[in-house]
Amino acid sequence: MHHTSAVNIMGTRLDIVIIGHDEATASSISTDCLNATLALETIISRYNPKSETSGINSAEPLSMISISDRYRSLLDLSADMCRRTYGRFDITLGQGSQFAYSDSGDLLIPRQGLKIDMGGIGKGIAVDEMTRIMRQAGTERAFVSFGGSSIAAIGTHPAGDAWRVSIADPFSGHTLRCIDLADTSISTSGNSSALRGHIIDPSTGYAVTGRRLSAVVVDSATEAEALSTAWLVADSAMRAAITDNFDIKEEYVFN
Amino acid sequence: MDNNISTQSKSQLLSESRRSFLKGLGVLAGTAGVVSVAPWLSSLTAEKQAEWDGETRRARIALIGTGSRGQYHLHNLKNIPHAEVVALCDIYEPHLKEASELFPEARLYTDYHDVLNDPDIDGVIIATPLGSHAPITLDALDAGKHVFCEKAMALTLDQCKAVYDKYLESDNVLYYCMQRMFDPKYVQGVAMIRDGLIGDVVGMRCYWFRNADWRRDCPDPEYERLINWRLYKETSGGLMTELASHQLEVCTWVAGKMPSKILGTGDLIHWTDDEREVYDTCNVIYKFSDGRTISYETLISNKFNGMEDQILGSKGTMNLATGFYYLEDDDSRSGIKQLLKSVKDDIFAVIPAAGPSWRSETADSYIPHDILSGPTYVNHGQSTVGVDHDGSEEILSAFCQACITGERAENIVEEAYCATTLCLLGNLAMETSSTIDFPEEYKIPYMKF
Repeated sequence: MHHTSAVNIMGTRLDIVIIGHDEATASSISTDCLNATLALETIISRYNPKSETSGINSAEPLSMISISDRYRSLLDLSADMCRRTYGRFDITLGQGSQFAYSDSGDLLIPRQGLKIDMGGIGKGIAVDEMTRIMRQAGTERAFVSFGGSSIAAIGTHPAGDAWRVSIADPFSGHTLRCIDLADTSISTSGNSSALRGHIIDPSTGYAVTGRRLSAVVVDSATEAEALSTAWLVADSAMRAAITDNFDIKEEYVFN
Repeated sequence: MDNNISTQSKSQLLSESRRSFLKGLGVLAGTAGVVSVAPWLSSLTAEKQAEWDGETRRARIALIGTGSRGQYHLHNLKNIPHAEVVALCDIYEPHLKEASELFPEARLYTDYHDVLNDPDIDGVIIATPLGSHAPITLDALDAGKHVFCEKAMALTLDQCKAVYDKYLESDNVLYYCMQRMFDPKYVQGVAMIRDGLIGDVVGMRCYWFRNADWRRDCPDPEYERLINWRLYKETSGGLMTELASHQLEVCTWVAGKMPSKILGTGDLIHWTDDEREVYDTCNVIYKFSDGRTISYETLISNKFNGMEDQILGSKGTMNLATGFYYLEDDDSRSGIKQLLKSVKDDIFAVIPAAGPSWRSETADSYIPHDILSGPTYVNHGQSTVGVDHDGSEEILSAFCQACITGERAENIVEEAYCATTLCLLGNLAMETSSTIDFPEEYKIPYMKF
């Protein structure tokens, strides 16, 4: 069993547990995973002034910004999540994640400017990237936890038919529910006693302040992240509508 | 037996197992720390180990009592290269036959006196019903044998005192199989407590829950009281001597002193369909002179709570049986440690992992921390015979070594005396529904109150 953890990455901690390879192989796989995550953080971080996100966020309205192919794919992915969640997940915070490009592929900054925040999806994208690296390397059992809020499981716990995680009430610490993951991902979103108001409802522009916690299980960690965020702000009718656009395994809202 | 192993490689094998035992103790290994926390481990220190390297003699061991626990010891003896099982003894023929199949070359006896008269035996293992522990131990010490006796020490307080006095007169080695004293997670955990990890020790809670009738198959009713000796007061102190004795020893080890008052209540509530006499539910409180308590509970009709030896401190909690400690004020929130432990122990367990992103300041629940950095083996408390890696093999190995060197283990007899008297006084408190002061006549100099 191999375990790697990093404590200051995308603002939280990352734990990678790999089972079934020899230590040298597992170590090499987890290094690849960490490097991929660091590379992603470098281009999407809002806090790194040299990131592509920072370049876009500080760009003059009506200017054109050259972006990497990788970043373009992230914008496409985010736009797709926004469209399929009917705007309830939106990295542009209410602008609808509608990106326009020049013929040469440069991003066009609209008249009102463009503010991008991938904080609600970056960990999911990283987790999907890591599980892709692991699967390519032949990993059959692994557990990736990004900050405890974005988790993916490959295969099962060696002594069980799944990886069983509990969802904790962030205020009391009590277990709300146990969920079995096997080649699936879970994302949880919500406020905690120490961290409130960090989730903005794109449709109103106001922060979600109540004691609300959501959890969504789906194959892709990226989708799980987008959905758990959307679940905090979408009412039940909207959640039902969004559900038609995804293959959701389990979803919960705890009030 | 082991004829294909040269004496040299036997010695190497032994050293390796000893080294790995000490290695399991992490920071304690190779330091005076081991001996200060657990003086009875002195024969396992690096210095003693160096003297022992190259030793080619083997202890000639006889087993008296070849039932399930006796056979468990026989299996462990197969792994102890410096031991040779030369004799087996039992009054119950089917068990003797089973044991003989494990060690076909061993001489067979049906009267333990004949074992004690056999000059070609260095040490005896006593794994008989509790009622006969003291008589056989006394006779064995008189016969000049080294003795490894199952816990508890004896069935009565007077027997305990008689054995203790005999031990003082004798020069022989006497061990009691209280394997927690040789279990790395206990040794390390007690060292951590002494280092102040959990702050001021404010209380202890030990419990053992099972859901089983505690009976053994008995093909012939004639043998009922022999086979199911645990259930009858003539031969058994019930759950207190059979289970609590291990756990109360841990408490006196941690506290370094004895409780002065004992109060309790017990009854037979569920397993009432047979002729048994011992309680199936026990609650005993042991109170130290400073007001701190040991709360002891056992029940054999519900196993939800399992088994734990829990030391409560002002800054944390040490769960010695499961090998975890918890801090009152903890800055880690990761369930990953539990995940790693569950994979290591091959136990399917819930990973308390999912929640809004981890932030150090949101820690608001107890996080388990491993006592040992290496592998941890956990006894879930449901076996009525014994489990692997719980210190039983190590303590037996140390005894076999002592049969050769003649060196006594510091404090094992004293700890057994303390634990057993507490068990027996617990039974007395339950039977009389009274609060008992520890009787003066059974105090020994080792005890501090």
